[in-house]
Amino acid sequence: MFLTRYLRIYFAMARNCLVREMSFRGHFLITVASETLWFALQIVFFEVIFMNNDGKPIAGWTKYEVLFLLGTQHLITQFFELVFFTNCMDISDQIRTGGLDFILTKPVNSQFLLSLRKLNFNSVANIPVALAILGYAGYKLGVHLTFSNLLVYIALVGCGVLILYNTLFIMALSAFWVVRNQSLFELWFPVRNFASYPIDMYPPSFKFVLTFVFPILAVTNFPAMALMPLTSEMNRSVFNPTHAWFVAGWAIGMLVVGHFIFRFALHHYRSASS
Amino acid sequence: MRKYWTAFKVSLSERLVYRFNFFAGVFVKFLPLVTHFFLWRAVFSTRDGAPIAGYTLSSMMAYYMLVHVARSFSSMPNLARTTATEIRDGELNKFLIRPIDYIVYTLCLRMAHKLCYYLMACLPFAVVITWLIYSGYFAPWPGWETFLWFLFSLFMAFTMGFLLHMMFGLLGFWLLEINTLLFLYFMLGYFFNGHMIPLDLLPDWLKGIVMNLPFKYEAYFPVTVYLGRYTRDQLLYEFGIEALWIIGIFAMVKILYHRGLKRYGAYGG
Repeated sequence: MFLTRYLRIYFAMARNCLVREMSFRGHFLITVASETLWFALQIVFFEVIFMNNDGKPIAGWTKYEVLFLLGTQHLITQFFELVFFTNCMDISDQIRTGGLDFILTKPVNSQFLLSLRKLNFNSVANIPVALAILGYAGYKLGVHLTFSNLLVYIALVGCGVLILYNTLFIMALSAFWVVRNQSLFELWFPVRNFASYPIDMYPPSFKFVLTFVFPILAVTNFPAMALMPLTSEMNRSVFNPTHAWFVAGWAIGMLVVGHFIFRFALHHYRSASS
Repeated sequence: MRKYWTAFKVSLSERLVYRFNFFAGVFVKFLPLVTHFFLWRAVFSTRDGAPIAGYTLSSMMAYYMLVHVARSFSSMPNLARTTATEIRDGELNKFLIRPIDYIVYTLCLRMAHKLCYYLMACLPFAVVITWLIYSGYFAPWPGWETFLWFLFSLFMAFTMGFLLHMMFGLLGFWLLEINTLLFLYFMLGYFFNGHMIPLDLLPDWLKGIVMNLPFKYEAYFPVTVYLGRYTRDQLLYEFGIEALWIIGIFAMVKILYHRGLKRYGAYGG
């Protein structure tokens, strides 16, 4: 009952967004093309490096392992940008202009409405692109798909999206206190970029911080590692189940913390101009 | 001349208001340098530090650092967008009815922006460069002559950047929405000007294309001048080609502006 009601609301919001998006078809096509182009440039970047280094592995990662990582990173960021990104970016505006009033007065969970209101359908088109690259790299690597490892992969991708969402959500909530936080948007792209490198090229201290404190590397590297087969001359990090539990723990923990911060921050909300 | 000097001064003091925002931005700017360092260190360690296309780990780090310097001259944040918006919303009227040239006026604003930027950026840049030199990850001093050529190439990069952005902005006379076009230009520019990876590393067929486009003068060329990758004859040749590009694009800007004014509807304003 509870769940079907929220699903119905979600589909209604999604339909609205799709209708709106489809009325600007030219814009839609160019945005999709530039997203794809950016992904292609990242692949070219690593391709050029491997080409100049006679295809030798970087920090133990072969060309196709890096490609598999890039595909995973693209998949996660596209899902995140489809569902959450636009909403997170919108939060500070909602707070500043008092638009949050309309959300708070609706008989639905406010965090649900605030975080899922708008879908960015431009990102949908890039999910098949990511899957195609994953398929190609997976084929070259000889990934052996089983029901269980596929399930782990999907769960980790989902957790990664949740971690990204909560990170940006919590950062966006700072708008309750500082009103204007536009540098958030500028921070997102370098962070996204950070995540597309193999974890093993970082020294231990960076690895530790970027996995446990600010888990941006765990978000992209762990799912990719979960599917990559063991090779004979391997000296890259190997996946173990602890990684999966760790990522899942982070995702759930951040969801809870984020929700409490949101509840707490609402006490500081003093509508505006309405 | 006095009126342009005033425009310059007003813009300068307006810019200095946003000091805090600036220092927050600097931190983000140097983040890619960190990942580049670890990535290239991993690459060079697989080949016992043997150079790639003439780059060692140190000169590679110098490359990425100097790209930031060169881009701080050639990149013009929001220039094209502002120009296109002023055309679309009829804001251009206020320049047309005054004895002031829109392009020269914009140039003054940009020079003020840049001066203000260097006033504030020279400290973080100096800190990072000193740190790189101290840790041994920078190129050796190239000598005064090369350094002067380097400064000249930065000046040329500024001119090239200004004209290219202006050209795209003036397309606003014909196109209602240029944001996505600009996004494509920025993204391809990032690759074509050598910001992403030194252009020498590209495969030959691609190098043949990229080396003959004007974008490389925005970043790759000044950087490689500093790194001393040209003989004096090659330098003169490259500067000659760059000057031809600048003259060509300047003519293009003039033509676009005058053709555009004929179409201009002066809506709103």
